[in-house]
Amino acid sequence: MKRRLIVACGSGVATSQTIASKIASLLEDDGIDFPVEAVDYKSIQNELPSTGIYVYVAQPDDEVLEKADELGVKVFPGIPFLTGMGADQIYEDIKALVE
Amino acid sequence: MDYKEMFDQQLISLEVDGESEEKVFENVAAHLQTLGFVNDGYLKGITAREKQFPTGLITQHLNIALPHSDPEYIEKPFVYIARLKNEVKVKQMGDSQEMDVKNLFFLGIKDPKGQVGLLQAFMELFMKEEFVTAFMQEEDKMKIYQLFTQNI
Repeated sequence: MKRRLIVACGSGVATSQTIASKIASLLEDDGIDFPVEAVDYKSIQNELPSTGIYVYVAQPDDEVLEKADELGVKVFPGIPFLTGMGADQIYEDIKALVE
Repeated sequence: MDYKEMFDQQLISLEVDGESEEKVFENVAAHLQTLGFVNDGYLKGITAREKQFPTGLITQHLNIALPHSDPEYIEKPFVYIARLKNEVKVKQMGDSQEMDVKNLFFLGIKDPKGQVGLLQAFMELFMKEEFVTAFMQEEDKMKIYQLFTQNI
């Protein structure tokens, strides 16, 4: 798996930055060093090949999901990190992948 | 930037009319433009962005929506608190499922780097049951303003 986690939202600013920093701080608290980055959904096709984990905010279309699947990129929903609901389980799944 | 400065008592409306998301956006955009917080591309910007990237969120204690536009339409950074007379349907961030919402918070982000913490601070507030209960029960603009600026 590529050592990079991306979070993609509509503009690559507000929401994805918020979720990216949340995930980054959770990883840091667990002493895990793993690059986390917020990106613009519009450039997602270019970002996927260099990515191991893709956390989505903007709903990915089928084409993007197929490409992620093809490349072996693991895909997770990002909204739980915003609302707090269900975030623990998703974080545990991500953690298990990066540890 | 101190997010407190983005709140303004003028930017709190507790009886917003509109039978649909579009109408609510029209009313809020007109108000914001009159007050000089956005330019005339804002309504189009926010409507287009919401269609492509919806902002409804079902949080533990309250359904909310956080409509925002690209920074080019913002003149002065703001948070506009809109409580509707009647619920409208919006789509959820992430999976675009429909949901009902009565409380919308329009985020006027002009400098994405400087204001990225706003969303985080906002979400932290809405995870606190005590805060959400106080917000929902309050019907006085001045008190709502204080509630946000004292807690965010």
